Amino acid sequence: MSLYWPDAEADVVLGQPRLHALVIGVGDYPHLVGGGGHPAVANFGLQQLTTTPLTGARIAEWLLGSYRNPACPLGSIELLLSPAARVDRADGAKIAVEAAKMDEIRKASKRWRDRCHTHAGNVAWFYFAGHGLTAVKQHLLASDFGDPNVGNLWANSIDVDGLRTGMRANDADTQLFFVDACREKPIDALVQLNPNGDPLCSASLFDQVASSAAYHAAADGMKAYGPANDVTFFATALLDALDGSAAFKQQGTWRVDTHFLGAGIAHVLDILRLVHGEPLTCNPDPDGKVATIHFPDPPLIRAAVYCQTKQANDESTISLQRGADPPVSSAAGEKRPWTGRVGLGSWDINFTFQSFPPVTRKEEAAPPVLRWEEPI
Amino acid sequence: MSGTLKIRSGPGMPPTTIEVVSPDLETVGRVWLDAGQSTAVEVPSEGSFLRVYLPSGEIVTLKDPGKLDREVSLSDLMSKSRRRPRKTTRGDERVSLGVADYERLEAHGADAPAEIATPKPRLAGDVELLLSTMNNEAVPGSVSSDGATATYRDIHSMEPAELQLHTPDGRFCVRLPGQLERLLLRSVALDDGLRLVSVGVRTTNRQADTLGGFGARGDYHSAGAMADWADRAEEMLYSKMADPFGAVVGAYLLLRLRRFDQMRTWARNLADSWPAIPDGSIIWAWQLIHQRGAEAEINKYLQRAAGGELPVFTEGLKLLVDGLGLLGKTGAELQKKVSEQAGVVLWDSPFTAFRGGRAASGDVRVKLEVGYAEAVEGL
Repeated sequence: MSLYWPDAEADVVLGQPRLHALVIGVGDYPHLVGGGGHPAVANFGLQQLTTTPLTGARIAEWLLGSYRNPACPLGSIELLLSPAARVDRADGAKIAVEAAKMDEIRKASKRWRDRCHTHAGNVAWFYFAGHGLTAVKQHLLASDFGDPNVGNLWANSIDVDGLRTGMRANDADTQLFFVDACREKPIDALVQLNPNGDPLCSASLFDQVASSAAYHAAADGMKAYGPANDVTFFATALLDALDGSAAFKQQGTWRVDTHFLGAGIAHVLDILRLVHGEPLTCNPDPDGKVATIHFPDPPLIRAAVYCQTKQANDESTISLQRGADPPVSSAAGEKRPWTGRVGLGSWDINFTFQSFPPVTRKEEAAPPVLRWEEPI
Repeated sequence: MSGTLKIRSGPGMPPTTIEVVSPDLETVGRVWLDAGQSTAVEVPSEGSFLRVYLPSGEIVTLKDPGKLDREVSLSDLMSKSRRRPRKTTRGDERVSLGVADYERLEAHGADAPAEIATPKPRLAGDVELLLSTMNNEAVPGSVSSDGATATYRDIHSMEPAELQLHTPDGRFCVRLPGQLERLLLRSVALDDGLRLVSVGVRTTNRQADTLGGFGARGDYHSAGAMADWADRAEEMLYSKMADPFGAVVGAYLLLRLRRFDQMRTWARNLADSWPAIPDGSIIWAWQLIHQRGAEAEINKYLQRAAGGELPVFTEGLKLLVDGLGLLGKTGAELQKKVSEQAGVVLWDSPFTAFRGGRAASGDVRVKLEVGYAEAVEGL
């Protein structure tokens, strides 16, 4: 079973605009380096991942708990995780989630596409966190990638560019693809092996989709996925962007659309890059009509506060205060830049030091981010 | 109190998108201004403020409550900009190109290392450069005496150029517009024996660079609702005979926004007039796909694009691969050909860039980043 929400297929609302999601998080690769299965003929040096299954579960949790779009509420979430797990849903239900092997991905993808196809007002949401290999096309590796019992090395991978093209045949007018996979580049192998993954579906020349947007994590290397045992940096940036960093106000309502989302992710990644020292970037690729995805209420944005010099950073106690709200504080010696999420409005940013006089700054927090570097 | 806010873009300003925001953070208007241009926007309050979207991707907020006549100046932006050197695994060392690099090179200041002109500049790290135009003429460049930077200036070819970088562990190729005001490269050693080579591109068309830079980041900011962007793009496409590369940039934006009324059939003229720029054929084929045009013509233009050199712009390569994927068996074969031709693509680059040669060892020691001069780092 991979239906994370609702409880049963019969409960899925069809025929009305709904968001239908397929979320895949792969960390366990038995045939790659450090895996427990028969080794792949070519493993490309790819190792086991810890961040990606957590990310898959977190994305599903966000969709269920935080996604808000009155014109297109949540319809269903298919979730596949490797290793397979029992996942706690916010309502207390324990969901047994299947492994993200290629056969399961094909079956879940078929169910997802069928649901999406039932109404033009639907939003199709695809999220993959795991290993990716990129030559001209990007291939996303299922958990059983490299199984030596499968003749074609690439059979257990998704051709995500082909999937996006193939989804043009689907009736869902808004299609979102989040590709949270490092673009590892074992050059010779990729050039010589001519990868050909499974696009899962196909379209004809004149199939059209009104709005198709893809957002690719573009970092290279394992550390760029994210901190061990936490969600990936890209997922953090995406959820920050949806929760406010990509929001704009129109006719009194805060909203996130397919164009602003890319810029919001990029701005949050810029802060995460500053904080973690990893080369984090994003390739947003929104195409067609601008589509509103989400209405954050109230918006929260990513903030980073720090000083210019090491001494000032080491000594600084930072406190952020908005009106009568409880302050957000960070003691001296904690990691700098300080980063967290803050609400919109006017904030007093207070610095106290051992060797420098205290400083207070007044800054307006507005999307995409609040970033303050004290010139000390 | 409501009123009319006048906004002027100061001298020397890069083309920028300016957003007018009310005190309660509602977006009141968005405009695109070139240096010296001005416009007026109705605002609900004198407390409304400006957010300037720079070509680098940075957003600078300019507040001046009570003032309804504002000039956006380069010095304002420089003082408010918080852009810092890009952080690397080695710390805070600057590794990318910035405005300061360009200004230094333009000024030929006393602090700039002496430059040596050569047909094949060699950068630090044993990186040999070869810039050629379509007729395979090598374009001479200059390299600083410390080998850290190399520069090419004032190239005026109506056909694409190609930059090759021969490094100790392989060869990179970057397809480029032939109309280049400046091409600046920098080579910096990183930790662990890695080397980063940055390529900053400034064409002769600053508007096209700005549009292309926003596009490369996917930073459209409701461009669909902002007539200025589409109108500039339309003008660029219209001017295809004078500047085919600017026309391609404009056409990609219009195609993405599905502004076919503003594209008319100009992309076909672009494709037919400039066959050495495959992007024109790709754009026209995709316009036909979206408009359900003649299948034979779509086939013809996609096959033409796949049959020659790679597109100049990465967006074109992506559209070519996607388009071929819709053409059945013939398309699949051509897709394979393009894949072999392109090697491993650097999708982050706005210009088609790929690692074409075989690495001498399994490890990749040289990383390449390519971008518009202003977008790589700086204003």
